[in-house]
Amino acid sequence: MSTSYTLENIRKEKATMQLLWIGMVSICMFFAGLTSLVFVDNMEIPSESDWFLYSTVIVLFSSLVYLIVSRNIKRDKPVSFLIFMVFILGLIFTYCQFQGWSDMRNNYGIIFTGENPETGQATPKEHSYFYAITVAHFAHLIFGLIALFITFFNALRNKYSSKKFLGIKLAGTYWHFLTILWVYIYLFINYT
Amino acid sequence: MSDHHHKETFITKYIFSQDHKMIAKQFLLTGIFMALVGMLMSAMFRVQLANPGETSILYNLMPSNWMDPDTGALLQDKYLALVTMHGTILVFWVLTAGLSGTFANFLIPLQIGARDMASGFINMLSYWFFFAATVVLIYSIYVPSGPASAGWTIYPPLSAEASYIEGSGLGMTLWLVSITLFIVGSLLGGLNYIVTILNLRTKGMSMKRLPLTIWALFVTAILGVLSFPVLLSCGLLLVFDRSFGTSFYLSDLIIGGEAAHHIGGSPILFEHLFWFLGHPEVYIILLPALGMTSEVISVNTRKPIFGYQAMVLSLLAIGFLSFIVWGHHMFMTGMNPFLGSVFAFTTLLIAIPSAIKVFNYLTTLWRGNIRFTPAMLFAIAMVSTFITGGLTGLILGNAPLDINVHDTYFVVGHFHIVMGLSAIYGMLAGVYHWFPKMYGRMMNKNLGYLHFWGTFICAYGVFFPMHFLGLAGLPRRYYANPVDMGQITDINDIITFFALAGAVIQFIFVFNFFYSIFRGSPASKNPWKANTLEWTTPVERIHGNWPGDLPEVHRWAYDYSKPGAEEDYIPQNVPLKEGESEH
Ligand code: HEM
Ligand SMILES: [Cu+2]
Repeated sequence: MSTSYTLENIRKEKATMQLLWIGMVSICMFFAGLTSLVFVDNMEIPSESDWFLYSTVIVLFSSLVYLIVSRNIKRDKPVSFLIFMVFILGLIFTYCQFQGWSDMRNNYGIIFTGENPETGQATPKEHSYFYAITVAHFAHLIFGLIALFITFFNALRNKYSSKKFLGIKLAGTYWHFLTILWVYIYLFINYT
Repeated sequence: MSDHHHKETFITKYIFSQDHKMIAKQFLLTGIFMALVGMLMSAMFRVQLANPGETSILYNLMPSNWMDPDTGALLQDKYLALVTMHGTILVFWVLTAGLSGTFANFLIPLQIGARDMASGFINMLSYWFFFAATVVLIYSIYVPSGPASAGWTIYPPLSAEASYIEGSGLGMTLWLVSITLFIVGSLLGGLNYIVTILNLRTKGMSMKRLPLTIWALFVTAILGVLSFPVLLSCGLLLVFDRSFGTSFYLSDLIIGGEAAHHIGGSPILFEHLFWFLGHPEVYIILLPALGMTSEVISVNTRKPIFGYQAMVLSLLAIGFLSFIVWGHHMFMTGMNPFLGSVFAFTTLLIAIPSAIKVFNYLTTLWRGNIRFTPAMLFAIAMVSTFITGGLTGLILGNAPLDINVHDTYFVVGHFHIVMGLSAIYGMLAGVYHWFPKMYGRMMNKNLGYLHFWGTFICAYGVFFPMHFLGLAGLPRRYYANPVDMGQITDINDIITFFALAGAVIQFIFVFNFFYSIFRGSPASKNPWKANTLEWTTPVERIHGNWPGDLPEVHRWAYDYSKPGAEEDYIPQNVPLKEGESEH
């Protein structure tokens, strides 16, 4: 691959970024669809567990770190360790989510589906909804983690420079998007 | 471009191709195949409606457990299966993937002057997701309990529990799997179309010079990426209800005397989510047909399209409005009458841009130097049926009128005239018009005329009388007519006659299509003397579309019969003459 930065490359990069952006718009519409349910039906979504507060702080912090990655690469400073750190923060976020889900189930009796063992009642849809929207976010996060890992791997192999860092831009944009999406969901389930 | 010519094997050329022209043909062939499957299904249920409870050789096309073992009649719930599959196939497989998939892929790079799509790989994935969806859908027809049977709109509760209707078992699960694959494929395609149009236009091809085909495909793709994800979220919750026992859409139901375990859900939620996609979807179907009609009409009247800017603006207006009218499918759900009148208002607003488009087509035709090619006939017919169907749309859009005919054959008549006729005619116009570019040969003209007139007469014979049945109160999706309707009782027989005749006539097209691929008379480079860039490419298919440099664009696509020009058309890549002004 040539290192010269031709017009054709700039165009291709712009197009690739746009593919991602429009994809993210699509994902927003998916979550907007889920969100609209709550307003059509005046649901109150449970959000008892504190673990979700921790995960929110972690994911915000990971995005901050990624901002440094973007700054560094433009100045040809090292990035691989920082990307790795974001990846690890992503894993910690995942850990918090799983803890949160089991907390909700074990300590608050909020389950996805089935009968409540004590009352024998079927699961109200608010409870199912809580799992549906948080797990849907997680499903998208998996792709973010994969993207971070690939970016980290490429950074290790010195694939990026201040002249050529599309991969870092793509992974970062998507990761920030996941952060914002999570903060939105967190606020949403807490204030409805 | 010679450096772009890498070696192609059979597999990379015809199967896992990344060339947009080949992918377009894959979409077209799959679409034609599915159209025939859907059409044969409609022939079967039309036969049942004309001869209720009697047997027919046509039913032997389906698994044997679809017939009553004694009488050989079509079973009642299999009638619903046929209706459901017919609707699903025609709406999604033929008029969404078959139409957009074919013409967006084929025309976007060729008409904007690009070598290919922004991402050939994503484009290929888009087709193969669609293909996988097709395999799953076809397979679902053959499972012992039958395919999905709750209508193409798969409303819960009927679609939610296998104990309500056999088709809501495995068949419905497969339907949901299939539609999920379909949505992924559509989204990947749509992303690519948008990005390609925004980024890969050749030098001089400003948005203001884009052919209207591309504008229409552009707005269509935007509608797709905004609305299909909502259908995905809608379907996901249905999957949870069906497979995991949640209660999003289900509430205190009694099944067979026993209370179901669901509480608190609401099927109306489903309708909101479904129609939020559902209405934009009907424009996803219609807009490409409108776009191609603009092109075909302009070329064949040898006149510039009337009101180019108004055409673009009305496309955008229709696209925008289509997101705020979904409630007109739900006037009967007990919605707040005030909300109902808001939806009626927004619905009627769509009539304005629609009427602008019709007006502009008619003024383009006015005093044109018209060439009645088969494509042109289909394009004119497209405009005519858009008027017929749009008028009944106005009736349905008024809540007080709609309440009387909702869920009757009046609605069936309405949407078949706008989709089954208008959109299909637009698609056929596209096939006849661009066939020479696709296959390098011409389709037979006389067979084309035969196909056109046969189709036009039969299709009106089928769908026009349906309005009377609906006004008389015949509900849609009924296995047999339960009410005595006096003088018009026999209308069903007439409709079935035209339906079967129309189905037979389609085989003229199928024959013409495949015969012409191999034996048609060789096409010249620009057989219709058209202005758009695809006609500047060589007849034989090459990777990268143009040998040498990409063409440069100097004018809009509609310089037909320009005063002072030697010929009655000036291709977009011809520079302006000295002192010549742009249109
Ligand atoms: C002037 C434009 C139009 C208006 C005002 C309009 C209005 C309506 C209304 C109010 C209904 C609901 C009727 C009911 O269920 O009681 C309806 C149904 C329908 N329309 Fe239209 N329509 C228009 C154009 C179109 C177009 C262009 C298409 C497709 C290409 C289309 C496709 C459909 C379909 C598929 C249904 C029925 C869906 C179902 O229940 O299965 N309509 N239309
Ligand atoms: Cu609608």
